[in-house]
Amino acid sequence: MIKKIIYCITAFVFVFQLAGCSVNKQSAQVLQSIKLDKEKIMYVEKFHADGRGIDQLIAAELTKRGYKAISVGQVDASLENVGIIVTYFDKWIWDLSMYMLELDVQFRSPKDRFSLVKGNSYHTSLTRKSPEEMVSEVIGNMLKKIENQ
Amino acid sequence: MKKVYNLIKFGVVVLFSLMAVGCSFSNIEPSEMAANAQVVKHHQGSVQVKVTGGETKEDQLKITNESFKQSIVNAINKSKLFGSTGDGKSDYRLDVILNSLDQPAMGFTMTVNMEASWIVTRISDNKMMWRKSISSTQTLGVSDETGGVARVRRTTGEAAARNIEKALAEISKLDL
Repeated sequence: MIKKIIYCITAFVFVFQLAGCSVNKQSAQVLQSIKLDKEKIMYVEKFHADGRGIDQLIAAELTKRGYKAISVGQVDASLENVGIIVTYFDKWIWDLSMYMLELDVQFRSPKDRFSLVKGNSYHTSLTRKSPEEMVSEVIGNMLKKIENQ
Repeated sequence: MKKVYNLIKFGVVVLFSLMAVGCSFSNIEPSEMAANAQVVKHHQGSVQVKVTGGETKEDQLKITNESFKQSIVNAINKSKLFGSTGDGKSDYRLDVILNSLDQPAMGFTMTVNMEASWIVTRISDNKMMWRKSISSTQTLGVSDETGGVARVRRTTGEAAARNIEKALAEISKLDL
């Protein structure tokens, strides 16, 4: 009886893993025409539920690509030389270990916080990427779209 | 013979599991996003609605462009925010871009966060009259909806409905 139960659980887990491991999505879209000014600062606003410092990874990635980027708690009127507000959310899930399932990034107008460019990557367990790779993939796709607009 | 029996048994379990995991999650229907917008004033002109950025695949438990568009049109018609809606010649165009949809993978209490960008353009001179990225959220627990998948569906639908209500309320304040 126990053997049968283990058999069924193994089969279910196997299928559950298959069903969950096959999704790979990455996308970027320019919603409104945008020109990034390298002299102005891109402020990365920290996502309230992020305890892993993804804001700093995003700022570092933008800096690596030649932009001035700073991570902040919340963008307000006290900040100067604001070029773009960068917001994001990251979603993590457990599968033997915790990994980043999804990263969604938006570049926003500092005037009205309207979303100008969006980028999203979604990789399930078998094709999981490190947070640095996820950030690089999303930011890379967004900047490529801006260049080609 | 026993091996064949075991193989069939395994196949049945696999099929059942596949059905439970990924084969029955249709996208959110317009009726699940029914919005009751409270409008301040009514605009006389006609409007055409265009939605982009939504899910294009079936069976994803997400929001498609078509279903969100239908919900917006239904809400506009119900609230009489604009004189009429249609895809033909119109006075205004309402562009809606589904920016993000943050749904929970699991949990007892489920919160869905959604953001859509709304743009109103006057067609005669192609002038953008208003734009805003609008966020909405909805949280439901087991007491609201017992089944997990049903809970995600209802939470997502209601988050989308709140987004439409917020947007239409703001558009109703505009001087078009």
